[in-house]
Amino acid sequence: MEVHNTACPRNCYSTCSFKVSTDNGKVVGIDPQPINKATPEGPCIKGLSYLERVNSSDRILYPMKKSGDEFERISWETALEVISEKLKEFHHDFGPHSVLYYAASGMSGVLNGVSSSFWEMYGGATTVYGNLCWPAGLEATRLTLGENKHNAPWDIENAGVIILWGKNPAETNIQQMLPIGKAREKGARIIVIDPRYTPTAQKADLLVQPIPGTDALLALGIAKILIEKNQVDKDFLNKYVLGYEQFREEVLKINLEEVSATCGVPLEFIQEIVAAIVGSGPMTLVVGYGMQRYSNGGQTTRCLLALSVITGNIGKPGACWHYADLQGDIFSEIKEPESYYPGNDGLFRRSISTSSLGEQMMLQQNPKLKMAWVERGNPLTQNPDSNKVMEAFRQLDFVVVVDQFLTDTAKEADIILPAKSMFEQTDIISSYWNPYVQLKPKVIEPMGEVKPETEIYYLLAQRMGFSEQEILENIPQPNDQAIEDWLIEKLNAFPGLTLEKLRMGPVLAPGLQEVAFSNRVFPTSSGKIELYSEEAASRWGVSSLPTYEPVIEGKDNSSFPFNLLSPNTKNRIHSQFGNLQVIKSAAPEPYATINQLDAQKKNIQNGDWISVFNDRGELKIKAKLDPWMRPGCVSIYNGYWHQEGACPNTLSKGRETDMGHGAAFHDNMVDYQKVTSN
Amino acid sequence: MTTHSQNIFVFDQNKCVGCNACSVACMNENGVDPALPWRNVYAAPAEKPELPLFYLSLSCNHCEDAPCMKGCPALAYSRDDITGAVLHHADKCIGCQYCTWTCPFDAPKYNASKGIVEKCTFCNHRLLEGRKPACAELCPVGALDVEQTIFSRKDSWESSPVPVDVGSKIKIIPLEEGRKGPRMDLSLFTDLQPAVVQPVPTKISAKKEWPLLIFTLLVAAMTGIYASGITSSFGQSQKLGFVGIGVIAAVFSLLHLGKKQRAWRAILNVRGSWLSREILFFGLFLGSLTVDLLLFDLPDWLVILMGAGMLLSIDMLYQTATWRWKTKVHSAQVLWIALSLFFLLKGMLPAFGIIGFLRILLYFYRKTTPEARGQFMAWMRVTCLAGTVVFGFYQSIEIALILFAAGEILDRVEFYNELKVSHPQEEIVAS
Repeated sequence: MEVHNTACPRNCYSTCSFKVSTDNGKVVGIDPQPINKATPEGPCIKGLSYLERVNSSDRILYPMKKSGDEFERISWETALEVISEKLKEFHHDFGPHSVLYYAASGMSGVLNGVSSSFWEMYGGATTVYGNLCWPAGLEATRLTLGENKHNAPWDIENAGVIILWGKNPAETNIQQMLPIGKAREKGARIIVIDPRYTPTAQKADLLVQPIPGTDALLALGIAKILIEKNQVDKDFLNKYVLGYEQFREEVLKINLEEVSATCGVPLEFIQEIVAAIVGSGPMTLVVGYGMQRYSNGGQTTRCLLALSVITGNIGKPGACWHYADLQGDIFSEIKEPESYYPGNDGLFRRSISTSSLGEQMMLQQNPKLKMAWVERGNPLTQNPDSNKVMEAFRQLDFVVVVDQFLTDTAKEADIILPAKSMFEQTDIISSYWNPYVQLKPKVIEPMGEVKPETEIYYLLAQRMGFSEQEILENIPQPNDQAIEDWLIEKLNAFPGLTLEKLRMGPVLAPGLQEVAFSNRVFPTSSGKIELYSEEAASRWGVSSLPTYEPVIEGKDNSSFPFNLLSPNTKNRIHSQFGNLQVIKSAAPEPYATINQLDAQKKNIQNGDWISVFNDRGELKIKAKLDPWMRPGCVSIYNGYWHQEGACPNTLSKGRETDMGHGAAFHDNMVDYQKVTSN
Repeated sequence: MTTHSQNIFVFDQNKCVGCNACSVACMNENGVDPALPWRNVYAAPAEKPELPLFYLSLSCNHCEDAPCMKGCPALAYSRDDITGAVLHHADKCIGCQYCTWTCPFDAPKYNASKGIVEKCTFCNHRLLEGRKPACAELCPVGALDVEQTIFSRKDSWESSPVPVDVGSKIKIIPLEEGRKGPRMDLSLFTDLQPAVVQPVPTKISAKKEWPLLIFTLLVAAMTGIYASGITSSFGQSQKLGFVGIGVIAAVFSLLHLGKKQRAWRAILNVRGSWLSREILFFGLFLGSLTVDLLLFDLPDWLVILMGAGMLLSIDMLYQTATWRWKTKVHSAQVLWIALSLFFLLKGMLPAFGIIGFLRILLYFYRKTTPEARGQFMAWMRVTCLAGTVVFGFYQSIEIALILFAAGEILDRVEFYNELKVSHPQEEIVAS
């Protein structure tokens, strides 16, 4: 048996280091890797499920071609022949932009860049801009602090008060519970702000449950009390902050009674948050990504961030704005969120907004879209308004999907190509939470006839008739040595960071600040923290100050009375993992969480079937009653598949966030009623 | 008094967030079928809003008294001398599932596809190498651990997740006072009615265990009939038929086993298991009865003694599933059935009536337990018994017997449906 150091390449905060054991070319065990100070105790249930995932009998191991409603195995020869002929045909007849190249966050790695190189060789393609996850918050942070980084995960231990605002680390970043627990043992106050009573909230001293979409106003209310009580860090504001006076002036106009009524939070609870911020020592404000997936998400994030700024809780141990730490992302030439701007990838002349993918795909003219290539993604499940996405895909002439399992998107493919697992090709990954650069080595030969994407593109490029020279310049050759050489070249820019060193375990990112902004350097245009941001106004058309803007689709302006929350569950990363048997042992079937009081009024019992609907779609799903979720909310986990009959994007609208080109799919009002069965 | 150090699980409710990694770590390590996890994570039910949200991760607690091991008729359990792990041996298991009744923690899981029980091994192979069990090693928040420490019987009792004093080797660190949930705006939730708590699926029911139900009724009847002396006046074919009923009963008891070819192992634990004693006495009863009726005379008291031993064993072995009942004596016990039948066949109606009256009292007393249900059934039961006395009085022995049988079947069916073995989820609900 051999033991290798590796790291989980999923789109997840934790990016756990772990050890993987192999025996006779098979993955046989997963164990903790304590070197990583952020994830010392080992991965979560999903990380442990890799044993099944890589060896699963449901895995796609061969190229397949659609034949009727079924898929049948074909050879690589045939698959590449058909695809290359189609690519040539569409290129010739309609131009390269008739092909949509869609890649998402299914597996991270530096090698993913090779895919773009292929499409560049092809002459470009239509691609998407923006991002489904977190851009509004990233942009808000970039506008304010100049860059996205935060203190190392273990620094939370030093906080005197931890506010977990819209974040549920117990499920989405379980290792964060370790330093939170340590801080708690040392007497830190824990405040959770979330409409749901989560497993994280259970560990808190105070739970505040605002009406979804009103968090910005709650933050401004807190700011007003802080300012009125003169509990701001004058010295910090004078030295490092631009626009405090204007902010102060605006905030003092706010009526706290209105804040309380709009947010649905009693004044005494707002005051209790203030008391904790004032009297507990350094504050770490941990902000989740759900809140910024509203139409006011960017401004909301700016309002929350203002609390860290005016209290001077930035750049000190235990004091931190904890949103995203991109210090480990050492390879990107353009960092997020700027890489999300349309046209900013430097390759593609036509890009469409990922937040309204379906609609945009169908709107394209000159040329119309004829073909889609999907890798590392499942847009039929994960992009907003998925009925429209499905419609758009079904209008295409030809669809290629590279995946490990028969997802909703793979089911729409004409040809499915088997995707590598994390154990079948060496790559380097970083995290947006723990500040390590990590190696994810190849530990087994690809199962079945699986080929890594780099190899697929290499072979395809040959069939397309690109010159040997051009191919060599853009795509590593399909052998382990060429892949390692490619990675070594990337590493050459960082003295001391070698493949050999990475093999020994995770390495802290070069130039890492464990306490972010401890040098008080804020790379904004003014060089100061910008509460007042001209760029916010000029680039995004929002107020130059952090303001509360009501959501476009909320309680006050929708005929549907319930806020649909679509949070992440511990059992999935977006649409991945839910199909595995070990995950099903913990989460056997989809359900909608509804409030018990609401359920009583509608005569719904635990386990009853309900129909959740709005003007975009309908889901029939089992109800689970929750006494402590805020009444007026419904929660259906992000990532359920259409095949399970429970994909919440059936109900969401394709709409961009106020900044950063994110998807505002959490502006989502629905109604529900009891039905007799599914 | 335990004074030496031993391996125990330590579970901290303050740290657990219910992530299920322990359960999957166990599957990975031991090749456990995901449909039958050896380690389960229980949560306080949302239907009980007055309870704080907390979790309980449980598998086998490798108890000092290990009811699974004590009760196993086939000696399929052993304890590792070095680690203290209670180990189940697949090759010795007969699939009787009795351990799934006796374990207070729902640790042994019956795998119907294999016909045997499977259970947590404490990762004995890892403990022997000085490593922690996979579940403890891989808890991402450090809530589950294994310690080698001195853990007294008293500590064990105080920490046990189910109120059964078996010296379970798990230390549970409960939620700290003042940290049982956040302060929150309760005005949002006024008028909240408690929802109906989903019952934990019951392990024993008449429908599931019908072969056992028939077996116990048949052997009770046979004992009563034999004791009444009627059989001595039977003709040869009637005698053969009577023995045949015993054989049929044996077949029914076999049907319950997952590994029928290993049925012989069922008598290996006569020293410790009422189940073994039942099987042994049943064999002796049937054997002596056959000899007495078909070959040569044996003293009647000997056969009756074997029958009584068998019935007592049956009644004793079901006590694991009546642990919550206020009395260990109840109306559906097979000893009562045999005794009642004996009096009825002997024509000793006053004695039958007295016993019947006593049983009716016991019957209604049993009906006060939370598992009891069915008023209609209760009236049927009383009517059958009263009818037996009335028809017995008027010498209509056939009708009396039919009514008697109907009443006994009713009582026994209800008894099976009311049996309930202890289960951690129920304890969380009850807490």
